[in-house]
Amino acid sequence: MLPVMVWLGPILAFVGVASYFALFLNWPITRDVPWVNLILLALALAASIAGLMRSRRRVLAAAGLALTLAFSGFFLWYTYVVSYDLPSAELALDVGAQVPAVVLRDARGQDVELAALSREKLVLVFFRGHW
Amino acid sequence: MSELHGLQLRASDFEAAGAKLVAVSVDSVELNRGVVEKVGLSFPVLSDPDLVAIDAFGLRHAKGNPFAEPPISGDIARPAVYVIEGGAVKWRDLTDSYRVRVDPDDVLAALR
Repeated sequence: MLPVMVWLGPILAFVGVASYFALFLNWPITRDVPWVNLILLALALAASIAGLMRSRRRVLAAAGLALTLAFSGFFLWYTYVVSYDLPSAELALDVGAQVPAVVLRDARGQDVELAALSREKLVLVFFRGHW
Repeated sequence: MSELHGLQLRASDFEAAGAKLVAVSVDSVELNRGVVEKVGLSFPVLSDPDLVAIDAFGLRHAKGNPFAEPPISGDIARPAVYVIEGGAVKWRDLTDSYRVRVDPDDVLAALR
């Protein structure tokens, strides 16, 4: 029989990646530093390595480890490379600049003048969108 | 979804600080209407599909949406929060990573 560790590793790694997007992205405390997911991936890696050392079915155990490494690699690539791929902040309007005169439509389809809103205190949030 | 929801949770704090809260993205009016209703947002969500305001603020993230297919360009806004007073920028937060968003407490501190 296949030792538990051989299949537990990749499953734990998959959960370690998927739970970030499905769950832990929702709270700043688990989002900004994805510590829950990093712990899950570390456990997955430990399981896969243990599986490789204990199992006599070397090829399967090695494939399990490769899968765990692939999931972990994807997660690290996304969290520490892809999500930092943003345009230079130097291009953005800086403190002291006047708010440009732009008219946009709200969710009811009505025109909203940005400059008119800006006369009073305004928190303007640009977000990536839901597409 | 979580970002707008997070702002909604603090909407009363922004109101207490005497500030209006407005969100902008490339999303269509129709899409925004759905989000406003689903999340129950009390603040306006503006639609900037041609990136007019986004360009005026210098926030265009070219091909930021990798799933877009023509005729949609896939250009979007990089996440940014501006505090504006008297028609001018008073404070801003441009995150380094789009995973990491501004702490609402920092925005409230900037409003005081």
